[in-house]
Amino acid sequence: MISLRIDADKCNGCVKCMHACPTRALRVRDGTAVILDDYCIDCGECVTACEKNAIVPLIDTFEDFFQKFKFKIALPSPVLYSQFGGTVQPNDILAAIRSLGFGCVVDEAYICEMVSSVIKHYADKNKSGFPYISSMCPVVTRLIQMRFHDLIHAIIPLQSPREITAQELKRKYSKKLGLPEEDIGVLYITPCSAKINAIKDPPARKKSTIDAAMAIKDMYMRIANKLFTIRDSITEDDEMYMRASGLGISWGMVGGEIANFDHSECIAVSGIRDVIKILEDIDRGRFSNLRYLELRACREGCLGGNLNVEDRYVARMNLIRLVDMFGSTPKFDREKLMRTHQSYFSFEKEPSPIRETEAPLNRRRDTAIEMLNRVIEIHGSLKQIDCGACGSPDCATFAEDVVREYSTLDQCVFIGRDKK
Amino acid sequence: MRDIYVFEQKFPITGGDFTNAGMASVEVKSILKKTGIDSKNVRRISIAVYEAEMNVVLYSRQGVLTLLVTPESVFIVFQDEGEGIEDIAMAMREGFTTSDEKIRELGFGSGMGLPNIKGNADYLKITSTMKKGTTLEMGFDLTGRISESDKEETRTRYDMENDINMYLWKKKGYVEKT
Repeated sequence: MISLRIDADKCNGCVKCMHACPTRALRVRDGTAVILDDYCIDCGECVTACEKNAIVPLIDTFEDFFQKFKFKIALPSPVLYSQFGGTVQPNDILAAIRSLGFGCVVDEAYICEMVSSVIKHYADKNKSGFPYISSMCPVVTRLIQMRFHDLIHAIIPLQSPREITAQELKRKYSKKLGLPEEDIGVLYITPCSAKINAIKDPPARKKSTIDAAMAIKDMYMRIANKLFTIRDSITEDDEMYMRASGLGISWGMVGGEIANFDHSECIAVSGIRDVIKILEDIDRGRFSNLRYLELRACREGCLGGNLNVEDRYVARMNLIRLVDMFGSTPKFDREKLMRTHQSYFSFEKEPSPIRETEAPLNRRRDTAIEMLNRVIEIHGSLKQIDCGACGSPDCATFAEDVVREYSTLDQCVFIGRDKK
Repeated sequence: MRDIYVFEQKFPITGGDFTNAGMASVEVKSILKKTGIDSKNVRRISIAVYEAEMNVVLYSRQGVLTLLVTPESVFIVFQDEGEGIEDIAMAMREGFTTSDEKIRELGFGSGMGLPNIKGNADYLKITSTMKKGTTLEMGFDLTGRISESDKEETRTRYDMENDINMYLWKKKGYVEKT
């Protein structure tokens, strides 16, 4: 399952998305882009590339969520704090969200820094001969599930802070209000479309405890309006007060997850193409000296998410201002966390392998070899300028599509032209 | 003699070209996956191919990788024009390296290349002429029919012509094809 869908009315059949896709999961058929679910890793590169806004994530609506639950909780990603400049503080933003009609609003950054501390504990103990890979970016997890089956066991077995938080919130408020957990709804405010999918179909859980997800850009105006009208803030004696330090606030930024780690043994990589490259290297046995890898599909990490409002670099500047303001000393009880984290933070299940993106041409190897020879033969006869007019992203993929019977040779404009 | 399905492709490798270093390995890996070889075999072949490709990049002027895939085996030959290997037995030892500080600074030249190839291949043969170049042949059995002891022999007697070494490949005429 993927979180993106094509709006056929808006799509004009240009090839920009197809060329932007790092896993060649897009084709243009009969003048409209088509996503091949089996190849899509949900990275959202196509959403950014599309100038017609024809590729839309499946986002829940505010109204549906409000009707469905008796007690409503908002859980904004800490990335939201970076979307407002000037003097706007996290607690102002939380107060503005609460005033939209939520029974409770909860800061995720505080849990983020706890998870970071547990990750550090894992990384320090790591003697496995391969680096642990962050489980936080759903695109990276999906990519590993699809293309790097041997690295699945290298994914750090810790759930995302949003799942951990939502799980705790439901338990807490169900008890406090005497309501069954089904009546309590948690709405996540997300910086990217991939997290929506990770909520609808979580790789490391049976079912998500989050009930709906909305884009930062869709909530932005609502929040901004409240920010400038109510001028309310959440004060220190309120249980919704943001208790995170700069470490948790910086989570959405490149290197945020490993901010207090030994940087000679951990690296942070962002941008899907660089992520694929480094995973190829690890799969070949390189970087065995590293302990931990923070991998993010978007450039500049979650600040570069496709559902944000602010430019990723401006967002980074805003966040650095907050990090400086809140310092880098976490306020949680580390010893207590180390005693209890396992039962709250661990994976419910290991992510399972998904059909590989570069799946065999045929189940029978002799037939596959014959087909591969045809692919090479057809590819050799093409212009190899990767124009995409045939509806496949490049000539090599087109040759493969023809042999797989996903396309026909006459779709090539040059072959058609030469015939005439 | 029954028909044998063979896929063959050559990849040029340029010595000292770090921009494209590892690209041939990536392409080989993608081809292996497309022919439906299981991930365990794809992995060990990829590791061996990558090490050998980096050897060409680091120590030769240029080379060619020839990939042969059959339903039962994968056979890969690296031919390069380079300095050659003076003492193959020595080069096979873990940790032995002729690399200078510069290459080791780059994270290569740890002396694990050839031992790593040996550890992953089922068949290995190296012939080298000083100042001319090296030919490295490696074979991978996909059937699981060749016994471990035979493999151990074809993997360790890398420097001599041996009938068992060629059991799988010569019999079918694949070696002559290269």
